[in-house]
Amino acid sequence: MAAQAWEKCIHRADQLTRQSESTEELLSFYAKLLRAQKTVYQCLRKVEAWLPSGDLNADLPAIRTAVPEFLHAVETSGPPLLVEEAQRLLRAGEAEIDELLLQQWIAPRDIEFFGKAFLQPYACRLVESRAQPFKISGDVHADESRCPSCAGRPQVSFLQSTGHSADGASRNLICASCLTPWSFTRVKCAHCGEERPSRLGYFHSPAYEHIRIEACDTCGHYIKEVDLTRAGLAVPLVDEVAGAALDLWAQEHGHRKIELNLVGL
Amino acid sequence: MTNGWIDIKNTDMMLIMGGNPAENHPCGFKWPVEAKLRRNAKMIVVDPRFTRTASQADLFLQIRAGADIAFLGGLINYAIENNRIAKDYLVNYTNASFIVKEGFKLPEDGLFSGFDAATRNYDTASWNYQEGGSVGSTESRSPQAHSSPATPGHGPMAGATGGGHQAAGPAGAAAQGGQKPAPQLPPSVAHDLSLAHPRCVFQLLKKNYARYAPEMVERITGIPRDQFLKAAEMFTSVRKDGDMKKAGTIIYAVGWTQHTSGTQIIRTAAMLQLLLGNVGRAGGGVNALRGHSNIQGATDMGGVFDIFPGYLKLPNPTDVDLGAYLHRVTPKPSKPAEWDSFNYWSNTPKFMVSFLKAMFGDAAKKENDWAYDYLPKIERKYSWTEMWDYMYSGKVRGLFAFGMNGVAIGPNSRKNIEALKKADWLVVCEIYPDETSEFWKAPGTSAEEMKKINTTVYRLPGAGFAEKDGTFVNSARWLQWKYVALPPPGQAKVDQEILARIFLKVRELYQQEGGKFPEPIANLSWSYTTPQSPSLSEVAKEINGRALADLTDEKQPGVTIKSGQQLPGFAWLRDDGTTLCGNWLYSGSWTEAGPQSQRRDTEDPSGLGIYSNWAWSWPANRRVMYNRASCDPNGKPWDPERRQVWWNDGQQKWVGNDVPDFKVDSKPQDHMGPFIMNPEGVGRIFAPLAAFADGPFPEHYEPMESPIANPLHPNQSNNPVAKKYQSDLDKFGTPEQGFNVVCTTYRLTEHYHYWTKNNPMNVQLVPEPFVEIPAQLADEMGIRGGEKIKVTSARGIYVAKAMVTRRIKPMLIDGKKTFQIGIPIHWGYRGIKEDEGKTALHPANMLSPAAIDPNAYTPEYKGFLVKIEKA
Amino acid sequence: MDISRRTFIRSTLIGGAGVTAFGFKVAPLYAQTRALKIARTSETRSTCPYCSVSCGVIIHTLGDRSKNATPQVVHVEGDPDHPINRGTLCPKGASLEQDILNDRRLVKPQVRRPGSDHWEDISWDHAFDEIARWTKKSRDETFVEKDDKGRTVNRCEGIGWSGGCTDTNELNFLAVKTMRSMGVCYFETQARV
Repeated sequence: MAAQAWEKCIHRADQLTRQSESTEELLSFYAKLLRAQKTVYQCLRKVEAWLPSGDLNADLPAIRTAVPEFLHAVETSGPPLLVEEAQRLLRAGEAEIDELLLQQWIAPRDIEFFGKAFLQPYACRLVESRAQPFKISGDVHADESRCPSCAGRPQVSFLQSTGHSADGASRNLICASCLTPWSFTRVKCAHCGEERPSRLGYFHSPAYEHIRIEACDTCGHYIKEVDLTRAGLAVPLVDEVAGAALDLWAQEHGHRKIELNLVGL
Repeated sequence: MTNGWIDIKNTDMMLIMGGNPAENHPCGFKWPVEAKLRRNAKMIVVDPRFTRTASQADLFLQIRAGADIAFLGGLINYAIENNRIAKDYLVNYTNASFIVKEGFKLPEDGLFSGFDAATRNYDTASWNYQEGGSVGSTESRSPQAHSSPATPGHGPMAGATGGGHQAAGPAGAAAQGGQKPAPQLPPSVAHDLSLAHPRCVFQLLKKNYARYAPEMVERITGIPRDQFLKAAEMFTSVRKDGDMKKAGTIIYAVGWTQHTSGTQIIRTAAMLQLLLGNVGRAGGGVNALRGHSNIQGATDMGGVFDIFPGYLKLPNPTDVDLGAYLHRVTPKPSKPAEWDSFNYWSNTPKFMVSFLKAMFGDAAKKENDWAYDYLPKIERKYSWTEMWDYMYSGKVRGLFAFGMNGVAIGPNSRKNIEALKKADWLVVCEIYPDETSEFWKAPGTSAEEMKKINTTVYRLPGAGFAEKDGTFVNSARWLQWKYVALPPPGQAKVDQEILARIFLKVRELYQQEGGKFPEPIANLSWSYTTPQSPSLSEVAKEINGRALADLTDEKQPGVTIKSGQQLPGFAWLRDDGTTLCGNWLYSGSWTEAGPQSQRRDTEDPSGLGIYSNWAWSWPANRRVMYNRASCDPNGKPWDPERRQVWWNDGQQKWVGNDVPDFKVDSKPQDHMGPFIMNPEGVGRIFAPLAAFADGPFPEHYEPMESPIANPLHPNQSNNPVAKKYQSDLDKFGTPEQGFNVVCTTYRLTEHYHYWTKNNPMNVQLVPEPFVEIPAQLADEMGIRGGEKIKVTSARGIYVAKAMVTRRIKPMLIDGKKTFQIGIPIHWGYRGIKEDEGKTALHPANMLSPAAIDPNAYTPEYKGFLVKIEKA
Repeated sequence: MDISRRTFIRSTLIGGAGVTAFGFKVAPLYAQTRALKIARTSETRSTCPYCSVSCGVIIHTLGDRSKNATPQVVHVEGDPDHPINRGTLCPKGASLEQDILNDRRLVKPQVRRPGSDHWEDISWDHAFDEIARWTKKSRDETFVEKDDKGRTVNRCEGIGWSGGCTDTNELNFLAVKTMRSMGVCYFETQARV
């Protein structure tokens, strides 16, 4: 995700913040978070004669400097829970933060807000500076529901048409760890790979012309999908957050999200 | 197709003829376009009309309908004359070096040796190889290489090349009915690797097609000499200066099949491709586009009278028991002694016994010859037009029409309507009201006449494609599973339930009342979980086959297929009753690993468009047939850029991006032929014995109704063994009677057969029928676009609006100015516009004749004679 | 933070009084969620029944299976994953929705009696009974057990089968089994013409 892509997300988040009261808090926070992530990203780009190595341990000295500003941003815009966490980390020692980041890098957890949000721009920079995938281990690589660059889980699915606008739309997933999109088969669970049509449900609401829930009866997981053939200006990561009511609906109905987003839904 | 849709992108040269993929296979046509864009491939289109396919061509030639063999024969002549041939391929992978018996005569006068004028049949005994060893020069042109295979017109490939399956398998095995044992191919064939022997196949080929010089091509086809030469130069340029890297493909559809020499047109193309070394190669092959979604599958599954599933021939009365049948139909190798032949059809007994086990289960026992007696034994044709002819004469009493609109399909629709009036009963299973189920109220039938029609007609509402699961096979031989999206509407039922319940009721009647030979009906294996509506998954598994006892294989120590398990592929089939398999060709499609036809892996590591793990392709998931021929005799790819399979010296086996279509451990030095379905092991430039009813080489014959006498041999103008019927409704017209316009039928992008006339969007796009007529003809007759015209053939009339076009130009045929017209076929007397009274209410096939190709029994829908007038 | 919180959070979402995993209040969303009017659709992979390119299609059907309602087709699109058509459809394929949802579809069994000028409705059971009776009659009347040379031939020459171009392999195999076991010789499909 290059600098302009961050900008595009921010712009979309600002735009959507103004559109709906019910998601205003979520989106205004996400817009600020995106700005903070962009700052981290730019900071990494500015380090002279340095490219991320993919060995986070070795890269820590270069990225550690961006941590305080990022935490401050969360501290000033997040809900009490995140404010509290940011303040705690601001007080914590370098070692604790290093440990937290390393843990998240080795075994990403969607519930670990700070690690996930901070490492996204680092992973983006890593992907764009390297030709080869990183962090791919034998087992995970075989699973096409994992990011081909970093083996992360999908945050959101999106549809776009690759040819003529009348053609069937191709599906892509966006990695929750490095934000890289990869193409993924339609009519297939992005978690367990289920392909039987009768086991896969697509939940729509007239309230969201271009966002839907894709749920799997076999593994119980779901992911949201943003249809760019219906809303060409949508930005999947951001519109996913804007469709928060659908998450609420899905989770109330017993579906489990493959990967929580950065507002914790 | 020997190859596949996506593979077309690998080509350097395309000849598209007898097909119009841009309009009739639009989403497949992206691959020829891709070849042009990415490889700078050239496209030659030959068609009676300037089509949208032609609009994309580098070179378009307008040909007279029915003159295709003259054009292709001319290409063979040009390739030989200009040394644009693949010499090593020809010597090693075809029967070019084989010596033909003395007594064989080429058809300079229109007849091959052995013609019997009384029966209008050939005695094919002289169409054979000479027994013996090497003749003349023994100098091998290629390192230790010599073997033999089948032409693309044969074996399982015959389905892919549009008919001719009755010629599949053992040469000389066609049902002949007589008591005289059919002549056999010699086990050891005399050959001359220098190709100089005057009776070697190559010299005969050269001699035969020397008659197809550019001037003769021009007289017959109407294609000016200079244009023909341009096309010939372009197409054969892939073999310029002996280069073997490039590959050319030939793409066709029913524009070739639907002639009285249809099979031989396709064979000419196959021979040309063998001559140029294009078969078996990425971007090469002989590629039948096939018309409909599961025509390929229907052919594979024995959906024509003369074969069972997997192209197993029906027995004939001389086959007194299974042993006699298998002896007759199982070929024995026939090849030069120093070559090897895999002769895959030698496994016929395994395929047949496994098929009988699938049919009759436990009732098929060794003691009763695996229930062989249960099968019908035939000695004449029971093909489509025969059926209507025998119904017309009152002998066929009842007809099941499951999704087949015989009246509209024709040919000679009037005869089919009259035939149905003589039947006792008709059962139509359809999704829309159609012409066949309503034959009794065909336009022009008076109330009085209707009262005299005693046929009882049942019209049963079946399920549409989205309402049933199962597999279709596309032109590329891919089996793809589709899922049920919704149930059929109203009281409609899935077709398998309708068929099953009819059958079970018939079985019940025989059980209760007895009747003629009830045993096969009583003993038919029907052990589906829901007998009244068999699950198609269970049927698909039965087609794949399973073990009936624990199986082991000495070549695969340690591997045991347990009794009851699905078979991994046809190599495991047995002739001792320990395996069951509905169709050996599809064995491997539903294994213990699950339904392979449901696979959806979009990876294509080689970039050749093979997609090995998307769906499943017969045979054995190979995507390009005869791919051994993509390598030189030493096992190295002719083109290192397009590596399909190759010999791996280290592993001592054939490996590759595709599944090798070959005996995997056969060393190149052994010179096994790549065309493993032929007893020769090599491709058949000369097709021996009864492989084809009308000759071992294709010869140009005029369509049954033609504006000219055959310039090659005016005294034998038509195919001497093509079939015509004798009923009062089977009439043929001549130019002298005023039938002087050549008519061809065709299909539109916006419509599908006789189906989409029920679909509002398609009807809106093209609402009503028309006749496409050349502008010059319209001018001469004073016809303006949009005016109604009447087209008349010896059999019927067709009235529709004239569509005046410059896409068909007048032609000079043998010096005679000749017009062609085209009629799209999609209308009849039931449809949205038909019901509004907006169309002429006549199926286009009121015009077409029942003149039949003697090999594929396909009618001549293309190139019959009509006259036109203002309506 | 602890992963176990996720379970906790999930439960607190219910009822709209809780917070998200990261502490956002869900109350503002809750009213919106109530008003969503969610419909379930299915996407079924299929194959276009028209030409032999066999384009992959995805059929969208609407219908909550839990309510046992009949699904309705709402959209048919080209399958973008299919290696051959890659999401494209021709004018015929693009109108498939109208082929599935079409008021001209036959929806009940009918019979036209000898001499009649109209269709009559018939129940499936009666239709099967009558058709089986006809089939047996025609077979018994025309069956040839031995030919004039005394050879066993077991042919039923009085009945024809004509199969369509969109019959699946599996149906075709059932047709081979049933018809050939009856000895039917006129066994033909669209593959011929």
